[in-house]
This record gives sequence, structure tokens and C-alpha cells, in this order.
Amino acid sequence: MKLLIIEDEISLANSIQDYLLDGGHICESVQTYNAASEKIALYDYDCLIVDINLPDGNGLDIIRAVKAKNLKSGIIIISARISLDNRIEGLNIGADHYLTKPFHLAELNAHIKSINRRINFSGNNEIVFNEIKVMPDEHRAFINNKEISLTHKEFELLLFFMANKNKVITKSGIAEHLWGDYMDSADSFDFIYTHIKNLRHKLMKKGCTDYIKTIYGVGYKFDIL
Amino acid sequence: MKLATKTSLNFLSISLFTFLFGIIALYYTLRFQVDRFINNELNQAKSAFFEKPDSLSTLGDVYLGACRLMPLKSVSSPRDTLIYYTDTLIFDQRAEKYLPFRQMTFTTSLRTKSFKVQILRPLEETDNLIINTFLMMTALVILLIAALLISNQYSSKQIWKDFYISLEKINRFDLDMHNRFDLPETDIQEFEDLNTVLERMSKRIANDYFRMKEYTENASHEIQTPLAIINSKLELMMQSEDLPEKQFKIIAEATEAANRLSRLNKTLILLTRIENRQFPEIETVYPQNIIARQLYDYDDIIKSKEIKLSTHFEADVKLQINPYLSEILFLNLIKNAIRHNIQGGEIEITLSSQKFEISNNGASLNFDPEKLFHRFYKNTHSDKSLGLGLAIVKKITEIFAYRISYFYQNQKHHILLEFK
Repeated sequence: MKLLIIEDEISLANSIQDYLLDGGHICESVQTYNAASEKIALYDYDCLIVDINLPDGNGLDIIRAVKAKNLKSGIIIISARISLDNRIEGLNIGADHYLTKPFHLAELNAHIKSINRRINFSGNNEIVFNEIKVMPDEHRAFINNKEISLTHKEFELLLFFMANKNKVITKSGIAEHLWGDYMDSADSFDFIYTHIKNLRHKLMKKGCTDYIKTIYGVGYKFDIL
Repeated sequence: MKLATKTSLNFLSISLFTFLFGIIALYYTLRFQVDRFINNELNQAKSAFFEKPDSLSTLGDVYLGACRLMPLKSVSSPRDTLIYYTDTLIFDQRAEKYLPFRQMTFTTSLRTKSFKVQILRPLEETDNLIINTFLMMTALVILLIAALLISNQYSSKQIWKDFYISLEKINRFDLDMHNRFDLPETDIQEFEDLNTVLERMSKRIANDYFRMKEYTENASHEIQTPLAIINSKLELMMQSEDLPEKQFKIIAEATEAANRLSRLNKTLILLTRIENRQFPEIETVYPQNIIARQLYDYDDIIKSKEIKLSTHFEADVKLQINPYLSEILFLNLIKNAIRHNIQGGEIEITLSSQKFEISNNGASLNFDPEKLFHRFYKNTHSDKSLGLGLAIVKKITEIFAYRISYFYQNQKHHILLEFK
């Protein structure tokens, strides 16, 4: 996938770039509105990660320009403003997701993966990894082609792990993914433990390798090695 | 004591005091004037007597104008020639009672004999006149005082009305309510001045207050970006394959703290935004749908904690509320009931058009229940929570004028939300 990061904070842009490069994406980043306008005029991108508050312009205008040119492009807004109006306006003009800073890179990655599926596989796709097969749109999962019954949250969790293979995912990253960035969600850590325990149990019972590793003190990792 | 009562009492005491002295003075003045008048008449009678003493001396009661002459009594010798006046009561045959008289007594010599002459003047009429005047005056003064008091009470009620309206408005004024501080127009200079000063002061306070709030919100938003950088760097660092365990633990702790700070900041922004009334859109919301969806969202957790869930929904309950805030309101209450529940406990949810009640098992609070809805108050053993969930609930209920209350009964925490 070809990605453009439009973010005036270079260090944040670098972090995103570093994290995403692992997934085999082509990543570019620009810091200003003008530079971004130039880039989108010249090239097509599969996905844009746009900060709304840029020093020389509004990120929403960039989204409008992109959507006018190529409707298929995926757009993820990253903004420091927790404002419903911004979110609604952004989504109305065609953005796929709105992430409030600070966000988890794993979350951003999962969104990019889902955009990738939408663009490159028209959504009717399967995610296959070794013995695991997941059909995201139908909410179905298979182990060695045998269907496995998962609850809604377990399914989301599995999908999230598979989007972030080989990455350490923090507990709060998982919590925010499963329950949204609603406030005061630290209590969800116990909940996550429950979910992961159940998911692991169900997967292994069907003969799946135990890919989910606990990383002490931090979170979990879907380890393919 | 009210100002009007105080002035009335002052007025009353001064006027009663004055009235008392005035009435006594009036009485004596009247008395003095009347006595002089009577004495004059008696003197005229005396002159008349001396004009024709012979014809009179032999008779009994002789009338001289309004006065009458008593039968003369001879006395051995004129002891003195002094004239003196006395007031006396004499029995009147016709009226059959004692009547007051003023009596003039003097001695005089008639044909070598000395006589004591007594001339009487009835006082009944003049006494009646004095008493009537006296009573009239008293009645008039009392009437006057009463009228003044009543009109005073009435006019001060009118005058102070504006003041009490202002007072009530000041009393109800709440910066967080964002309502304008409009004081009534008044034609009384002092109150107008007071209102002007109050309005200017409240405007200044409100300005400062909102500038401070704005500053808080802006500051919180500014913190978000550096936090995003810290979080992303830590997340990246975590991905390193060759990280020694010791270093990893350090990163883990830093991540934990950074995440906590992020959550805290986002929550405080939300709280500030609710306080600043930045969720003005009101829609018809069906709480039953929201609650059912949220319970579904936490279904796994409820099952794993073996919580017995019972719900009682009245059909078609609607609320006029901001949809986003309604989500947070019910979510925080439901999450609260799950989090603080015991293994194998119960959650009971009742929803009607008047109220929403949620109860869960759990040990009683180890702090004052009054503080349950305060920021950063929590049971010490659940230190992972921020202690802001119920503070947010409280803020939302304040905005929509819902009543929220807490009570502990049969080992169960109850939170009751009354919509009207």
C-alpha cells in the first residue's frame, strides 16, 4: 500500500512511518498543508493519515481535495481535538476513521489493514494465516477449515491480533480497540485478560498453535515464529 | 428582622412616645384654657352679684347667666377677702347624680354683716367637651399612625420587591449553568446602582471563569500531541527484538504511566467540555437500546464474573438528551456496576419513564457516600480506575436536571437516576 502521512510533528510522523514500514507499505510523510497539496496533486495514495490542525491550513480541505480526485483512497484523521463536530465533519466528507491523539500505533495499523482490504480486495476477502482463516465481514473464523464459534469481542480481538502480527500490543491498546476510547477504561485490563484467556482456550481446543504470547507487564503479542 | 419591620418599629415607638406626651400636654392645655374661661364667667357673675346684692341675698338659688349663686351664709367676720376657686361635686336633684361644678368662694360685707358668697358654674358641658376633644384627638392620632404604618409596609413591599427579585436571582446564579445574570430594571437609584455593580462584577467573574476553563481545555489539547509522541515512541521501542528484559520492564512501566496520563487527560477534557456545555444537540434517545447494546458489549465480562443480570424495561421509554452524553451516562453506570461487583454477584437494572436504577453487589464504601460523585474519589483497592466515571455521570445529570442518588441496601450498591 502507498501511504502518505500528513502530520506537522516530525517525531510522531516518524513513529508512524517506522511502525508501518514493517508491514511492507510504502510510506511518505509531509509536514505542511502546501507540501501535502502538492503531493496529492502529483500522486495517488491508497491511504492518507491526516492531521487536521496543520500550521498553514486545515487537514479537512486536503481530505476534500483527495476525495474529489480519487474516491477510493482511504483516509484516517489523527487529531488532538476531542471534538464531536470535527469528527462528524471529517467522517461526512469521506474519512474512514477518526483517531484522537494520543492513539496506539496498533490501532492505526488495524485501521490501515481494514482500508487495505476494502481497497485491494473489495472487502470480500479472507485473511488467512497458517491454519487460521478469518472472514471479517461475515464475522466468521476457521481453524483448519473448521468453523470456530467466537463471541463478538473475541472475534474482534483475533482480528486485531492478526492485523498486528509480531507486534507487542499494550493492554490499553487492546482495551481501546475493543471498547473505544471511552474514558476511565483501566478497569478493562481484567476484562482483557478474561477475553484473551477464553480466545486462547477456544483456539487451542480446535488444534490451533498458541500464537498469543503474554509479554510481562505490557501486553500481548501474536507471535508467528 | 426585616428592614421594613425595623423602620416601622422605630417609627411606632417614636410616634407613641410623642403621642403620649402630646396627649398629656393637650389635656392640661385644654383644662387650663377651660378653667380660665370658667373663671372669667364666674368673675362676670360676681360683678353681676355686686350690682344687685340686696335682691339676690335673700333668695335661694339664683342664676347668674350660666352660674348660680348659692344661698349666702353669714360668717362672724370676714377672715379674708381672698377669692378662691375650687372644683367640687354637688348632688343634682334633677339628674339624680353628682355633677361637677367650679366654685368661686369669697366673703363680703353686706349691711354690716359678713357673708360667705359661693358662685357655682356647672362643668358638665365643658368636661364633656374636653373629653370628647381628647378622645377625638386620640382617635385621630391612632388612625394616623395606623395609616402611616400600613402605607409604609405597603410601599416598602413595593420598593423592596425589585430588591428581593435581584436577591433571588443572585441566589440562583450558577456560573456553570451558563445563564445570563439579568437583574430587573428598577426606578430606585440605590437598587439600580447595586444592580449595575452586581452585573459588572458577575460579568467579570464569568469572564475570568470561562477564560480559565478555555485555558484548561486548550492546555489539555496541547498536551495530547506530546503524549502521542511519547506513546508512539514507547510502542515502537517495545517492538525491538533484542531488548534486554530489564529495559523492557522500564519501558513497560513508562508505557503504563503514559497510557494512564493519556486516559486521564482525555477524561478531563471530556469533563471540561461537558461543563462548558459543548454538547448542545438534543435528540430523542431510547435508553433501552443503549443499555441493551452496552450490556451486549460487556456480555463476556458479565459471564466470566458469573454475574446474574436482571433487567426490567418499561416499554418505549424516551429521553430528550444529547445522544453522545447519554451513551457515556449509561456506560459509566453499567461499567461501574460490573467493575465493583463480586464474583457471582447480581446486577439489577430497572428503567421506566421516570427513573433508571442500577444495583450491584459489593462491599460497602470505605468513604463518605456523599463523595462518591466527586472527582478522584474511589475505593483504595481499585486504584487502577481514574475515579472520574461517576464525576462525569454527575456532571451529565446536572446538565439535564436529572436527580442522582446513591444508597446501600442488602449488601447492594444502588444508584438511582430520576429523570424528572
